[in-house]
Amino acid sequence: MEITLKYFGQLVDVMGTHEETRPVDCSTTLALLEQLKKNNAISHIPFQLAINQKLIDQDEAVSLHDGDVIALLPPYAGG
Amino acid sequence: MNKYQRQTILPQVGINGQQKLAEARVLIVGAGGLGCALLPYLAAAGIGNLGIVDGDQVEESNLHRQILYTPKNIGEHKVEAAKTFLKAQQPELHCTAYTEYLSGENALDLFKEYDIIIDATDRIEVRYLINDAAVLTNKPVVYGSIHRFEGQVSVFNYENGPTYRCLFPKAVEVPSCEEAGVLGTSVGLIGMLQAAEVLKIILETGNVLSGELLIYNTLTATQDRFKFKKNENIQITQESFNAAHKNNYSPKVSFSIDLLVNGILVDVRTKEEQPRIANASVLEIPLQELNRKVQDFESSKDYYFFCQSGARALQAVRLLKEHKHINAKALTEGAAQLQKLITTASV
Repeated sequence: MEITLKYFGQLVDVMGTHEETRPVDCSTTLALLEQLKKNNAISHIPFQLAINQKLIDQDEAVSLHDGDVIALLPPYAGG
Repeated sequence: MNKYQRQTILPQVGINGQQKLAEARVLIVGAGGLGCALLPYLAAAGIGNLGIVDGDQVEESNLHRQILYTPKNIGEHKVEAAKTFLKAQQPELHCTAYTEYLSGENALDLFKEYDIIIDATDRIEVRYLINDAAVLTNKPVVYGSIHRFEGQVSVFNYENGPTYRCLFPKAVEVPSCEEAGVLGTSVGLIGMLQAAEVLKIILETGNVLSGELLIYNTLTATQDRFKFKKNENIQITQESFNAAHKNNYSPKVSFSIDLLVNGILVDVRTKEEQPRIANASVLEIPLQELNRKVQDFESSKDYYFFCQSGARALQAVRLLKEHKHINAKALTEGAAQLQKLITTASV
């Protein structure tokens, strides 16, 4: 299964890209989050998750499907 | 009315709409990059009453993006300089400049005077303050914020819709423009999107950006929209507002093992909730039973309340306030954290 990850805010700087499509072996958002947070560079950045343009509750296991677009949305402070 | 002819010929505005604009009262929190972008457009459109809150003074490093200010304004209060600009632009405007920062002490009174609140600040904790005060005073918030080349826009608490806390429930550390850097055009664009939302709310036209977060990226010239729902579990009350935003209001303390010397911990959760804390200094009184147990409290002891999140602990402290002989405080920590702290301390 392949999914697209879209990064925003500080995550763009940390991941070095806005977007990447990659194969994943996890079937839910909880498993995906666990994998993502293994990357030390992003583990300290707070963000919300959206699947196909809809925010989800991060404590819930939402199933992933081939072709899903997952956005990682951190809060911004500047103004 | 010739001044507004080009906008009143729009069927979405008309003479009625122009009248609504003239009567509208809009409060802008923050006279930085976002505020400078949206203020002259709101004034030019004929909004009758604008309030601007900001304690900052103009600095040289502001001028590249805060376009209402010139080198002559350096050192002046931003809100005073902005008011001078706007009054020259629109002499009939009622503009109130508040040379102070928004705080837990002044937010509710200020918000009551206005119909719409614009969040144009650059600090995350002020965004939560704006959100909570707007919920308590029942005002919509037109939100904008910036990270480098990206900006977020949304409208919160619009007709009882989702709020900032539904989008980002927890207060966290996030870099400001000062720390992250920003181009004037990015902040100008986001300010303009906010101004457009303000006009739509007043004119009751178009689709207000409620329950949706729009992110515009000026570097890639792309935008994304995300839908989010109201989180019914989030309750903002006067009590939670005071605890989160009032400096001198601190019925909350952090746990340390020294508290147990003359203190007793009171667990106000129901008996089923886990983890239980097995310690001689813990009293178990579920919140519902608290009123019946008032006589069990001794005036010579200090009582520290806890629950799972801290909300019921605060409620307990409030319930006991009228019993002056009881020294009651709520703990910052929830049961899970306390268990760890107590276990570590007793090893």
